Amino acid sequence: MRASEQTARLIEGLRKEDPAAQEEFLRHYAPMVFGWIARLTRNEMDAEELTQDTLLRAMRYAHSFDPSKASLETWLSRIAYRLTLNRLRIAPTDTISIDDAPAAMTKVDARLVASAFQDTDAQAIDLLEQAIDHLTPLEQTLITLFYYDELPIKEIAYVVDAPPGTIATRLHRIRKKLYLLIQKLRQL
Amino acid sequence: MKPSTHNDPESWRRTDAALRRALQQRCSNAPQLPEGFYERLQQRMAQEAGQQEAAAQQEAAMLQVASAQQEAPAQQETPVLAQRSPRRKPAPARWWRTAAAAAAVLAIAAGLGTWYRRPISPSAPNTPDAPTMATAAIVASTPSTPSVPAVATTTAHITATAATARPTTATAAATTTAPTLAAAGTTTAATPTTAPATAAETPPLPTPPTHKERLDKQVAQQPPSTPAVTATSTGKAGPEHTSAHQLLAMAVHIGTDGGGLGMPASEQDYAHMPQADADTKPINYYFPAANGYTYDLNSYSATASDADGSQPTAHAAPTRNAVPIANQSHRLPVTIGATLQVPLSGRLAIETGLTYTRLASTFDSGTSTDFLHQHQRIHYLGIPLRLQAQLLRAKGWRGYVAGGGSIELPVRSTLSTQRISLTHHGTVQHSHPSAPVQFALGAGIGIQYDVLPSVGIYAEPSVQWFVPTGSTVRTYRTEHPLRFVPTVGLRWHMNK
Repeated sequence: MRASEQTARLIEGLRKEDPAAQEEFLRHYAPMVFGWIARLTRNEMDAEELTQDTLLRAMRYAHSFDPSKASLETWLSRIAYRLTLNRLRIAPTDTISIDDAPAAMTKVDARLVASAFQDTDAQAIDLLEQAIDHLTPLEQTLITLFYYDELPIKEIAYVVDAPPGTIATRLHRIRKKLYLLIQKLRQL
Repeated sequence: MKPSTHNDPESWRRTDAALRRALQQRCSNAPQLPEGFYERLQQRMAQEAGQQEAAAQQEAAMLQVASAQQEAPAQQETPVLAQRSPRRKPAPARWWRTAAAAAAVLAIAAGLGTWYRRPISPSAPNTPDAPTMATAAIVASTPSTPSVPAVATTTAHITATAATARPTTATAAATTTAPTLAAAGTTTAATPTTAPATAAETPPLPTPPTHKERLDKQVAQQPPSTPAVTATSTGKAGPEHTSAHQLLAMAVHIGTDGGGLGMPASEQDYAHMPQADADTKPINYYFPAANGYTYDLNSYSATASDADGSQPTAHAAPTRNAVPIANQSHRLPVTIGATLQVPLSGRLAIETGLTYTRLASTFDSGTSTDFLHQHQRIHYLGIPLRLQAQLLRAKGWRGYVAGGGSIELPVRSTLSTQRISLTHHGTVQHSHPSAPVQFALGAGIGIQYDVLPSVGIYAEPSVQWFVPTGSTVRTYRTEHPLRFVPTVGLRWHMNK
């Protein structure tokens, strides 16, 4: 059976509230959804609750899934990331202020950023990870989707509900921001 | 000149590689589902299902009480209904709402038409200052009728409900109405069976005996070979009156080149290239349809707004999310228009008018991380010319076949191009592709129901063939030259 047919059958089962389809859906997608959310929240209890919210919402609104717009995975990630970002938005974020950030960013060019990222030793990677921790939840989501999940820009745009051009701009700025954060962390 | 380092592709590629390494290390230890996750989820599902069931039972009980109180006339139902659960019922499908709204608009148009028509009397002053096509048409076809002002008013209302169609209607009137109507007048005068009907259609104030006499006379003149079509006078009869005659009519309509109204028809002619095969198969293997990928890259890249003059694919990182793409997506064209129908004989009529069509498409070409995103919009004004043959008419229903052609002229075309990548963004360039003149041939069947003696709603499914133009401008019609076209509209018979 082709993947699209399998997805269609699964969605049809969810629409009819078929217990077997619900069981199959949960077994197949729960680990994946939990992984997405836990990467952002870094808190197991929050991640579990948000995973439950995502899966229940997906089953409740299975009738609104449109396979012509996105795959089932992308649709699920859209629900998961939106719920997670809403939760993280109200939680305090450990951010570092960058003095005069817009002006500082214009001075950062490609070679400067590359020079900061050229070291591949454990200390440099650790510093980069610390810098990522200081990004906002949305920024962390974007670079995770782009660099780890390797989603195309248009799919990321669908997941976070923003125009593709905006996503490209934000990704471009995030790289410069990471450079500035690394510089700041080195000074601390 | 010192080369700019701002968009140095090689530096960005190194940065991307470092970030990818860091994030893969960060996310490599994928968190596992905690113990007992499914059990807790099942409990929550059961809990929510119980809550929903309880709410449904409560609602059912309240409805039962409400219906019981409704049966008891002494009791008021308001307090009970006010206690109903605020849970909302699922919204109906969107097309139902659209259809209901369209029906409401038609009903209001028909009702107001009747309302405007009611105060007409022989002493009502003529209003020659109403410069609409319909007014001119009526004056030319029935010069002595006192009902001209009322008809003109009705026309203004109908065109106002289709606001986009009104200006085009007025434009068409200036050029096409006079000769056509003169011909119609000649035809009417030369046809013995039609002449009395035309005279009877707009009597000053027909007295019942005279009207009945004319009606009986026409029934007697109807050939016995067509029993399904009963010819009668049109006079003051309601929708149940019957007549085989084509009438001078005006219509406003809306249609689309396929599917349902207003629904986007997004089609991915070219798919994302799977990464596993990316290195082993030639590019045309993935885009066999029309060598589209090569075409897109070669033609559209020239319009890119790239600061360093590089090609869209020049510095794409070799990753799964940087696969070559070449997509095109076309929205269903929607056509609105106003047409004038002039009777040629008892069953035949010729129809022409003015239509407006908007074609919108989007194109993506490059790689999925660095591509050109283009919006193309082409606006057409068209002139249809069709022959319509009425097949049957009974109890307010008409059935007919129609066929003909149209010519559509591009009045405006825009192509906005935006390059989307990690280093190029934000700038949009506009150009104006030379859209071709479009010819089309079509035929279809139609059914009309007269909600009022002079107003009918109709649906006309047809098949249209858009003659290939040889242009490189891609539209929905170049991809689908033969299409099913569902058209719905409002037709107003001006000499009734």
